[in-house]
Amino acid sequence: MEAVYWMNMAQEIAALADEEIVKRVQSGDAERFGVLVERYEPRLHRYAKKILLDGDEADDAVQESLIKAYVNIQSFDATRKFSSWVYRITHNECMNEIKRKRGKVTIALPDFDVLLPHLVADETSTDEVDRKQMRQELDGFLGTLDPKYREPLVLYYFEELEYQEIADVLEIPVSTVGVRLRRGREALGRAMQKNSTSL
Amino acid sequence: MENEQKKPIKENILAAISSGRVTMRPRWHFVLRAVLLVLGVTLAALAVLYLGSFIAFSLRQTGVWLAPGFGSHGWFVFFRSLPWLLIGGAILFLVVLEVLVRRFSFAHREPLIYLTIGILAVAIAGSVFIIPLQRAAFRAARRDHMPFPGQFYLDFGAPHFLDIHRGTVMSRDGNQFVLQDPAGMQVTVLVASDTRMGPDDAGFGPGDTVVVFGHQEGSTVYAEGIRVDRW
Repeated sequence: MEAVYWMNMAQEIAALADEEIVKRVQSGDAERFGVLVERYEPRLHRYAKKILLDGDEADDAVQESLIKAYVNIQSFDATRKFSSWVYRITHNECMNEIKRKRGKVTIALPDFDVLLPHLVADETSTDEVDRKQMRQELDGFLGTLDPKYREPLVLYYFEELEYQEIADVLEIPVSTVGVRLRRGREALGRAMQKNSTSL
Repeated sequence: MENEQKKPIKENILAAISSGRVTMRPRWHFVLRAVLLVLGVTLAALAVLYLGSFIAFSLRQTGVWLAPGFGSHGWFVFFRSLPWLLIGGAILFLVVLEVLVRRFSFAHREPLIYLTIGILAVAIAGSVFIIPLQRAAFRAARRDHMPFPGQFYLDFGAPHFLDIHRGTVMSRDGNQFVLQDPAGMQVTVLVASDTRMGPDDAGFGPGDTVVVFGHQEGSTVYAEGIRVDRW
């Protein structure tokens, strides 16, 4: 009887949306945070590894991100998407790690992508068909791309986030997501061309 | 291969939570932070509005804002007479305000330029809107009804700049008139045939407030230009 009860409970939890689970954690059911860790650890690890280009650093970044998510979970507004929130925390961890590796303090210059308005250029269905091919191409050249362009490409092609979600994660306007994706693809094209001519 | 090397992140985290090494911050912590943020935004916005309106008021009060109308020399005097210290303070608070406002999630949804223009527009419009309050404060300071900030108003609100003289016409006699500034000092203004005046400015008389642009020698001002200040 007890086994059936726990099985039903597990099924019920598995069927809950992230935000419902967050509400339970916020109410004091801390153990339920394990469900969120189970759901997000592989995704966040894949994302962090593609940004940091190092598996061990990605492990550390993901563990730190999930701990920070737990510590700050009372600040999460359950009417919003948990995925964007937790990706945002991981993004911050990855950026901190990249800055730490660079080892010098740099002055943040104004980013004109964020400063000025752009027209939104949504992906078309044709682009959707090319997603798989894009992922293969990106895998070989991620290291050549500036993190500023690498991140939206990874979030779009690997994590399959929508423009609005990417905008929430990176805290940039939706129109800027489109601009960075386009520039990222152009940079990827240049890197591939350079590689083919050097062979 | 990757799976073999993978650290048990879930176990680490749950162990840290159950042992109490990692604890949830209480809700009041975030409520307090939000309240402090709103308070910071409010104080920075008030500082911007106060300084902005005070700058606008002092430019009007001293007549400096009319100086560019007197040609290139007027522009030179205008820039030389601007209250740069106050302008620097206002810019500093504007930057603080923008940094604080960017901590709100809505601030990231639109290009940064919109936020900057929005804050500037509100600051300028708000500053202009509350100039009458600054004028009332200045009048109270002159009547010695403001013990603490009164001197501040008298120092900044009625400074005497070289080449710009704003005051009330006490008497007019042909090509000269007597001008009294807000501090009660009187000078004689000489009007020449080439003194610049607007089409509506020539007929001023006793009781009118005018801004005279011209070099002062002793108690005589040689007017290069005159504007009636109808503020």
